[in-house]
Amino acid sequence: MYVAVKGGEKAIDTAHQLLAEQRRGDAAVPELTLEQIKNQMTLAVDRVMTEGSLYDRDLAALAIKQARGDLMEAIFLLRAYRTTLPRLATTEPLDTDTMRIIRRISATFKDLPGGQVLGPTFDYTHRLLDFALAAEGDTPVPVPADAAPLEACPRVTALLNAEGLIEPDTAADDADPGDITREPPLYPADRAVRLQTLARADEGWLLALGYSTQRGYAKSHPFAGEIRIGSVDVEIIPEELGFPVRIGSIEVAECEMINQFKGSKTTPPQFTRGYGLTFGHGERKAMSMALVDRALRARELGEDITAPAQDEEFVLSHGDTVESSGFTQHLKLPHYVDFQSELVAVRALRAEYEARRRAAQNGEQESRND
Amino acid sequence: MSATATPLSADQQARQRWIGLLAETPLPVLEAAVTALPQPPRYTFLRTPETGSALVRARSGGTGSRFNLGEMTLTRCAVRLDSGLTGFSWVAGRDRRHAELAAVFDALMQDPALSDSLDRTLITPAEQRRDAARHSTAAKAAATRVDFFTLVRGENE
Amino acid sequence: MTLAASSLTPGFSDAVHQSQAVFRCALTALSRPGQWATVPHLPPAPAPLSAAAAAMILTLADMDTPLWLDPVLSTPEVTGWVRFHTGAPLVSLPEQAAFAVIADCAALTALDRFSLGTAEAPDLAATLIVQLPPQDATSPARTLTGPGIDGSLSLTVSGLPDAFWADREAFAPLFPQGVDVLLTTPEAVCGLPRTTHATLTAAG
Repeated sequence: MYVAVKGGEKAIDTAHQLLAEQRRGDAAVPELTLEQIKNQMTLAVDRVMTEGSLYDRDLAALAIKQARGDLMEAIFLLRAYRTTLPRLATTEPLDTDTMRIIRRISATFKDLPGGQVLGPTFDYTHRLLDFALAAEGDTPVPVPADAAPLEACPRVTALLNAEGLIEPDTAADDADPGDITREPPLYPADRAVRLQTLARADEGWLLALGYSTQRGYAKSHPFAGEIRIGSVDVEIIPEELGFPVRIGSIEVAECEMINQFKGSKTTPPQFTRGYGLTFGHGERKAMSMALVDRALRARELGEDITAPAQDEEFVLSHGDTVESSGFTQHLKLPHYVDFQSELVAVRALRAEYEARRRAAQNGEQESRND
Repeated sequence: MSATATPLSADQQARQRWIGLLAETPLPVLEAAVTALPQPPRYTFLRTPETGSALVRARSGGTGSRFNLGEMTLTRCAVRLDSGLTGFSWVAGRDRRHAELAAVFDALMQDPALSDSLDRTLITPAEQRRDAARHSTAAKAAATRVDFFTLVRGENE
Repeated sequence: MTLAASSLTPGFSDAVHQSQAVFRCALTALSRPGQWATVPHLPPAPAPLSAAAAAMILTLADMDTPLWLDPVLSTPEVTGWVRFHTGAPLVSLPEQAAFAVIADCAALTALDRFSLGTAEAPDLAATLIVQLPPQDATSPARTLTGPGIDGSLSLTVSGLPDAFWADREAFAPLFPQGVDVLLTTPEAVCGLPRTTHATLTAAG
């Protein structure tokens, strides 16, 4: 019954050659270098690192090149590579208070200690195709680097916290947070597991779910309390030394959403929080993540669960790029045996149906003849 | 971990500084610094350079409970100089040679005969280079700082 | 806790390729139970840890595998070496261990102290890495049967208490639960997976 297990090898090899040829495209056009991708396709690199769940700009650039720019395929490649790495350390929690900021905005307070820093943003561009970029190339005007340095930027939520108007979010470092790369997911999941799952979830999925909460499917009244982008030091505490050492720094985007909360029997009305954090400059992903994080906190805040974005098993188990694209694409694999059995079943049902129909017709005929 | 609670000794602070800087020093700079040594360092590997990952932790809301954000590549190495001094390195990324040289310099920096000159020629310049790069990035960001003026809506005023 | 760097000895000189070769050796040992396989790379291990057991630890243990060392092996040199090279969390209770390393074979009784896994997740069972004492040929032979053995085969091992063999047999009805064992001499390894039955060979 299983007919096509052999004989595909040559065709597959040739298909891969064709893939390589198509990837290269017109040989008269210079080949893309990884340095070019790394330096000029930075937001693609950031997304592949975030959803690939591995911070390594060179590998992400390679994955993008190999995948012909298909970011989901690139994410799959990076995830697959990730599984080959022995885990050597766990970092100290990133201290985003000490982020070296290149962008920091708040939609909640105009006059913010530290100020609003726009940074390299698409906001305020007119979204008009720039034909000069096509015709004349990309030679940007140098940015002046003589501005007065930024002041310290305290967190917006800390300002609200000082008034007691926002729920506290304090550290309780008793048990290590769950790790979905090591333990299978169990529902209900705690917030640490949810945040890890959201951090590597597909941006489009989170964006759509976040959008649904704004349109009324889970009323959460969000405000972008603060968005920060910049680099943070990464430290580990090696057992050999017993004190923290810096292994490098990474770029991250952070979003804190502030949401209205009408209060419950035990909690006075106050603001609540939703949190998003990504590798690189994934601002939109961080915002979406923060909206969905807040929506998924419905259970612990005693809110009615009425909308898809509040259903944690639905949200968490369908958001992984590799899982969802893998399961969808597996439909291309030979299902010859499955389908043969379906054919047999449908033919049998059809025969039964026809027999029943004929019997009914005959019955009618007979009763008419009577 | 309780290790962070106890204040570090002056020696530990000094080592913490140079280990962090060596991790961020570009490989060509380290190679040049090896060549510039009075004699090539002789060492054996306690742990050959090995690339793996570090699980990156963060905190909800930046200050709350910990969660796992993702992973990053990390390469580590440990060497022992013929003098007996031991050097370690943990370097973000996958560059084994970088990890090897960072471990060698961690060991050499513990040698009182070399530490002052290495600090002067390698560590402090690395720190200055890093600070200059950070300053330049920060200054460009600061140039995009905006002051919003709220226009009076003019209803009752 | 910080490690004393001064007393550390190296692990594999070529971690990637040597651990791959040793992994192949461990696979062979577990797929051909009862047959001794020479461990291809032997790191300079701190006493009383044997080189073959050390090679297995370097190959199999990492940050995700809790490791239990028996009291004989729980010296600062051995624990420091294991932590330095593998990063494996050292656990104080045998039942927490994914890998357990045993040098005091006479005390290797009550195997149910170790994790037998669960019916749903038999992979959570412990693997015991056992350092055998110097062997003498006068010990009673055992007849091994099971997957990976063509018919039966005879194995003579000295130093393991009767309770060790009795417990293994007592676990048989619990399959797929059970413990896997890697017996080691200083240079070789012999697998006794949970699927292997061992009975005292009838005299004559």
